[in-house]
Amino acid sequence: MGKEEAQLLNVQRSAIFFGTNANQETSKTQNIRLNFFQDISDAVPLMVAVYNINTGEYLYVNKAVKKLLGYTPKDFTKGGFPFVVSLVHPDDYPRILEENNKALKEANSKKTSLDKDPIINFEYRMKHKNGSYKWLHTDGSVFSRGNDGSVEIVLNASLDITHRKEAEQKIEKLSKELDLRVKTKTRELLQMQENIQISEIRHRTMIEQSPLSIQILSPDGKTLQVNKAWEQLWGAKLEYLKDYNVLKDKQLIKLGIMPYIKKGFKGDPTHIPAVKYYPNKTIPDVPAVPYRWVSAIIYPVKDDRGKVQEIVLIHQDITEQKEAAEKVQQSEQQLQAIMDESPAVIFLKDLEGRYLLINRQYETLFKVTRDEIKGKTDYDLFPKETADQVTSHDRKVLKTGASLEVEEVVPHKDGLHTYISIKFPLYDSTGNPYAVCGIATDITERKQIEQRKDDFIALASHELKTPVTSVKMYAQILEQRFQKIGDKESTKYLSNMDKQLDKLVKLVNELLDISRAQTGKIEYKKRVFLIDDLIKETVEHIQIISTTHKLMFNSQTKQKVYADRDRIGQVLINLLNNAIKYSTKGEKVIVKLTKDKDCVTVSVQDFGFGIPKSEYKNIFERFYQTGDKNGQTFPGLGIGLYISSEIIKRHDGEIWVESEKGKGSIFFFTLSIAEDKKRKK
Amino acid sequence: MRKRILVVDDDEGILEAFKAMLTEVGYEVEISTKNGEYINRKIREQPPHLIILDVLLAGTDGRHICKKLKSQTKTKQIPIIMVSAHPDARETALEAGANDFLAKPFDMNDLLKNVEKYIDS
Repeated sequence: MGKEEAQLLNVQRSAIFFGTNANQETSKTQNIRLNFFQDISDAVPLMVAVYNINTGEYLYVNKAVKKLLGYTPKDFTKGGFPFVVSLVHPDDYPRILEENNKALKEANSKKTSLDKDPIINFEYRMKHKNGSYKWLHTDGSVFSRGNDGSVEIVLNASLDITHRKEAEQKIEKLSKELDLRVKTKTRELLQMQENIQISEIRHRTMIEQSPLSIQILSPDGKTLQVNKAWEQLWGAKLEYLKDYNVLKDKQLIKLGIMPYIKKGFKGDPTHIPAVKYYPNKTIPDVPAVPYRWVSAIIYPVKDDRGKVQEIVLIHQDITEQKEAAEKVQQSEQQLQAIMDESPAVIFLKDLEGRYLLINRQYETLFKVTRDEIKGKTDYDLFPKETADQVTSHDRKVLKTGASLEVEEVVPHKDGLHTYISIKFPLYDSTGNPYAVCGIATDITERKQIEQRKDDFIALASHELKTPVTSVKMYAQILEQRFQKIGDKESTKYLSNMDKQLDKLVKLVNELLDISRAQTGKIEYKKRVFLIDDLIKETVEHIQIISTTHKLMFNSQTKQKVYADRDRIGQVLINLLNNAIKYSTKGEKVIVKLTKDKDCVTVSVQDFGFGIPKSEYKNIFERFYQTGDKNGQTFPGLGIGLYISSEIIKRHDGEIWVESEKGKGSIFFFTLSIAEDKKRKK
Repeated sequence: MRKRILVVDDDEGILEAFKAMLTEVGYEVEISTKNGEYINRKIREQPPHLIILDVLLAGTDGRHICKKLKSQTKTKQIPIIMVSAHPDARETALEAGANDFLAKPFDMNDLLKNVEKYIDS
């Protein structure tokens, strides 16, 4: 109990004390007692008022009224009840009136003079003289009762509780505000919670649906969550990771990526370089998926204070790309190995002639590495003539877009080497050439061997002719002698011998020719002559020695050609001989000469076995022989057509055949007409 | 007086055949396989009316001999017919100063015709 409350109680007790004795005393004693009481109550800081409820008269108000309400006791005693009532706050008056009446009713019903408790206490506002309202806590108690026992005089003890009331009101206001704020805050929180829930759902859905493998870990390395893509990538489920700690994964440590993972766990988003991971080496329940190539991103999820709460690990499956890249690499290595094992020199140059690639043989022979040569051209590696030669071939290839087989001479330390180079363009995906590729084989030795062979053949034919020469001379001497003495038979024999020797010489000459023809050693002595005459001469000459066939030549062009007369004659002889050889007795051979624009065409037609279409090209090849269906071969070395074709080629003409098996063949060759000297000027 | 023909060739078989052939028609034939200075001297001492000379001799180029003979006052008027089993030797033989060239093996009549042609010059 507070100090003031105690005081109130005491006052009431004393009031009761005095009040209960009221009926037994005289008014004099009553007044003495009243005065005594007044003195006491003036000393008390409470406002004490005694009034008659029936008359409304204020019998006594203590001096504290001045302090409390600004009025004097006289104002109260003068004004009485109505005055006091007027001071009550209008909002409070109806309430206190009701309470007062209720209390009185109750007090009256008790009708005993032994009341010790206050009959009422209430709180209300009263207006201070200065106009402001003060809250009072008033305890009313029965001061005295009338003769009928009903309450007559009441004693009110009032305490200024303005501060307390104000405080109470403030508290209430604050309380209401707080309440409101709490309500608002709660609503906000609920909203936030809802938002968070939605966000979480969205988050979870995103993770679940993401095509990227997502694994969420706690900072201690354990896995909290994985999505479907993760399960599919690793062929595992979250349950398998019960005992798995990424920070202790031995395979990852061995692969050397633990530092990156640790970096992510520390708080730095990191890209983890690609590794080849075998899930079933680390996680036992995983069914045997061989391996996966993955690269990953690890990033921490931090709270507001920057502390890592979760770690997100996103894997990207690059197995297919890796395997494709490996295949490409393997393919490249394969190609490189083939290139490097090749004894041929292989190289690649760009459109400007700069080297892109070379093989090992190139490196070995020309003492340059494939890295050194990049960007260099032939002018950086070889003397100018060589570079000029080689570059012109490259340019031709790019210009024509076709592959080219050509001989190239290139200096080595030990001298010049000859290469047979096959060069061809390379095209990119848009169909444009981007490089020239060359494959070159060293034929120097082969050429030397060929040279020696040819030298040998030349020597051999020379040597062969020597004994033949003397035999022929003796044969002719003897022939003459026998002719002189009239021995016809012997003469004939020797004549036959002479013919055979001629054949022998012819064969030897053919042999010599063929080797010379191939190396281009035949020198052609070209001059202008009438082609008609040559043909006529040759036909006549052959007709003389051919008794079995009829040769016909009736054409005329009167054209001149610029060529080696002897050699063209040789061609004609060859064709005529073939015509005779490959047709049966009694048949004719027709020779024709025609003029076409700027060249003449000579044709030799026979009616013999004919040549199948598949053989057209072959018959002009060196050493080629046709046989008839019985497998019969024909005398001769089979080089006549080859030499003829070489001769015609060297005259920039063409030679070809048209034939029908069983019906015969026509051989054609062309020569350019000699330009008129007059026209030249 | 019989005309004297000198035949120089490195093959003995051919030399014998030449001798037989030319003697048959009445010439005096001297044959030699030797070359170089020996032949040169021999020719100067006893100049023949015609020389038949092979292009390719063992160790020496017949064309050199021909050139030399044609450049010496004493011998330059002697007609020289060069012979060879190489048909292409004709041009170079003529360049060396030979009066004519025959390819081996030759027809007897051709040879005799040529000999007759030059021997009287």
